[in-house]
Amino acid sequence: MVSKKSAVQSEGSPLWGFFTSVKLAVVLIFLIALACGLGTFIVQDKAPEEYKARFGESLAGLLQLTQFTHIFSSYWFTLLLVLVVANLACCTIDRWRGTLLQTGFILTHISIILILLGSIIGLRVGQKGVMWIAEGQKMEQFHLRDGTPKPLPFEIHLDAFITEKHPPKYDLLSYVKDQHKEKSLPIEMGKPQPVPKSPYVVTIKDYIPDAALLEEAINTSDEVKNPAIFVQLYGSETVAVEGWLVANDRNWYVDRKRDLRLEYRWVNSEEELKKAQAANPSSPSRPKLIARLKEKGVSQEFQAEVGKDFTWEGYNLKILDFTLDFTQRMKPLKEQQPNNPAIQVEMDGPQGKESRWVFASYPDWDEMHPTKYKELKLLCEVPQDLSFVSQQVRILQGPNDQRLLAYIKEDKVVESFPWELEKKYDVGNSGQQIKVSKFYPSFGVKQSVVKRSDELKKPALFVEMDGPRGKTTDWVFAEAPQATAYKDGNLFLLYKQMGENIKDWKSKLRIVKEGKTVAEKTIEVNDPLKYGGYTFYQASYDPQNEKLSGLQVARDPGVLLVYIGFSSLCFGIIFIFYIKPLLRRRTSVSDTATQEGT
Amino acid sequence: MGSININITLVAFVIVSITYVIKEVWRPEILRRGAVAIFVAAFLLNSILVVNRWVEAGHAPFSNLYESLVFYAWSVGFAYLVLEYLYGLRIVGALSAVMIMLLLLYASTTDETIRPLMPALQSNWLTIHVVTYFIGYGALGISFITALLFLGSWVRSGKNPGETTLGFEKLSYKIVAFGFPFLTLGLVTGAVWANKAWGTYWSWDPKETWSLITWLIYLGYLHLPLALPRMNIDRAKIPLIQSTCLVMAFLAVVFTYLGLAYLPSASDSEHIYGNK
Repeated sequence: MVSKKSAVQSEGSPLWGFFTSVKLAVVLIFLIALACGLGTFIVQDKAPEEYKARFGESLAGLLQLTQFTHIFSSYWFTLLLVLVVANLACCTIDRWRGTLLQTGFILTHISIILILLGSIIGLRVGQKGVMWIAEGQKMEQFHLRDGTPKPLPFEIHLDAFITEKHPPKYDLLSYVKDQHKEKSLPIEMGKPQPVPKSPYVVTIKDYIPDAALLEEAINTSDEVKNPAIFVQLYGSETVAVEGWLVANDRNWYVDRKRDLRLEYRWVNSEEELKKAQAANPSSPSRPKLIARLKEKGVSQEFQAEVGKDFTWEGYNLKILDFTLDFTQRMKPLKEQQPNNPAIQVEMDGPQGKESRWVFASYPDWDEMHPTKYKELKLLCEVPQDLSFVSQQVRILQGPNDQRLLAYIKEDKVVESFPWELEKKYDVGNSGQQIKVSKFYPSFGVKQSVVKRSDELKKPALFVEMDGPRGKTTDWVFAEAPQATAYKDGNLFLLYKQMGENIKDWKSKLRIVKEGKTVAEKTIEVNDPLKYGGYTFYQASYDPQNEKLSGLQVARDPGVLLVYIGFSSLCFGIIFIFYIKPLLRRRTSVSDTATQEGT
Repeated sequence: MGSININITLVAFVIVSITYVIKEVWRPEILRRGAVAIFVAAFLLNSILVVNRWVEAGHAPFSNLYESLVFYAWSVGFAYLVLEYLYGLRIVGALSAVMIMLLLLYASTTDETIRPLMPALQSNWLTIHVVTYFIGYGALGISFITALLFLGSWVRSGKNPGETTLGFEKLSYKIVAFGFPFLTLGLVTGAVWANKAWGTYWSWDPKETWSLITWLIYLGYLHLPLALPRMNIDRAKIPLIQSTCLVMAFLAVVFTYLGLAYLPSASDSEHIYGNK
């Protein structure tokens, strides 16, 4: 395998012997494989903080010092590759005979050198980066990965950006709670589908590609079981707002714009009726501040009115501010929506003054933030129907057809009178009118599913669920916010759009140089545009902005060398393992003294 | 439709495995050629499964775990038949059938829903890349079997391995020599495809890195017969080292194929099965 000539040479120079040895090759191959392996087990090229969090301070420091945090660009990995090139070059020279049988050996060994050289050229003089370009826009630069802008020697125009989508595909998913098992059920009409390893069977009975759920108010009985009225509020001549108020359910409506609150109450006796129309009864809709001392086990509720203060358990609590939406707190209260209500409280105690925001929706906020008075827990409760409106209309009704409508302004009853169906009444002097147009003693909602069109828009399945508690049927809507449940609350059905819906992105690109269009192409994923040494790839898109195309820009003069390397590697290996054995079989008969190449 | 087919194919390979065991243990004359014929029949069923899926999905069936397992089973069968023809594999055939059976069994437990292809996968390179890789993987799977057979028979024969034992080692090398070019083509076409799709032929993504690691281990294995005799090693141990290397190499293949989701760097990768 090694000729006498090289043996002499290797005796003459130990260094030459070292670099021509196949032992070095094997050691290098396995060392590089090992380094690569480490490069995947240790997450690469992250911020120093991440390594500290993952490995601890000292180990993270060691990893950084030894460049194990960026192995593939480290000095020692580069050194390994340099040794590979030296080893390959020396081996090739040392064993060069120029025979046909050596073709594969020469090609494969040189190919690796070519690939590595090409990649060095790419890293040294190549540029790789991204460009976000909007439809109709032109760009004269792109950004490298580290964010530095690079100018282009021409303009690039995006004339159109098209996102092609597959028709959406929907999956019917079953979820069995006590098994934590999710399973996709085949969508086949009428065929009972057992949910694996469970007592349930699901059968699809009907399908609508574009379904809508209609909800219709109905009266189920003339007995008073669930009284409700349909109220219309008139701006001038036309109905401005209308809707149902259900005494035992959603019985109020707050209209901040019109500075008005409506309420409907069912009262069981004459006395209650009298009481209910009186102004300011129990004032239910005010925010509350709850203070609690955990160690003492005491707590106290306070009406949170801005400006008020309370002394309690050695603290003085003062309400500084109240907002319905913390981020919108500079706006007047009337314009705020109740998204994130909060109270600002000033606490005065043994350690001096301190103020704190108390959030209704985030009761543990203060525990995550440093505060002087850790022992003092503050909570805030904001009623859902918190109004801050100055006018109220209270519509009352009793069992013996008593009806009373009270108009209240600034917490005082201005007027009250019996009301009748289908009659308009003025709401104080506000210029608005109110009418109760329907009364249902037993209000109910009838749901029905209707087909809106034949297009695949919002599909729904009518399914039968069979299980330990018998059969039930229900509609399952695509992308419904809540899963459809079986009676026992253990089986759930979801109808979801699955998988990537994007079929392709296409960018219609035009390259303009000195005012002239020099190149034009509609690129798509896997089909880039090349011009002037630059290549533009369709790389990504912005889900928030359908008109914004993400391009990858690459200029890599080394890639030609790499490709030559790839081709000679492939051809060389095929030669060694497929062609050479055939050639050798033919020649070995006549020439037994054939030299071996590898 | 699909689920019926995979079960039939699975049953066929169970039958093939049993036939091969009978053939090796009792050596009835009728099975000398009959066993391979049954294998071919089962392999055809597997082929139908692949083609059927291709037609049903409307794209090359390598886009999810189910499809790739079925295709890998096919590739092992293909490699086995070629190698059987070239070298006569004998007992290796039984274990190949078992391997295919296990692959199909695994496939039958995975989600077989057809999903639309993401844009980057819509390329002819997908077919070239995956087919070359999987034929390579198929052959290397068989070399794993021969390496295991060598190790098993080496342990049994003690310090004086016989002709059969050493035969497995020689066979392993020949099989790797058959599969390695495909592995190389798979690696290179992957790089070329990446360059076409993203403008980088190499980005040290975990999948890329592990394909390189696998390739390097097989490359190292192929150089071992040149290096080991020059090292200060007991000559008798050389085939042992080589077979051990081959077992490790195939474990790297399996890890590259199925294990990457468990890596800490997996979340950064674009092409790992099972990343939802």
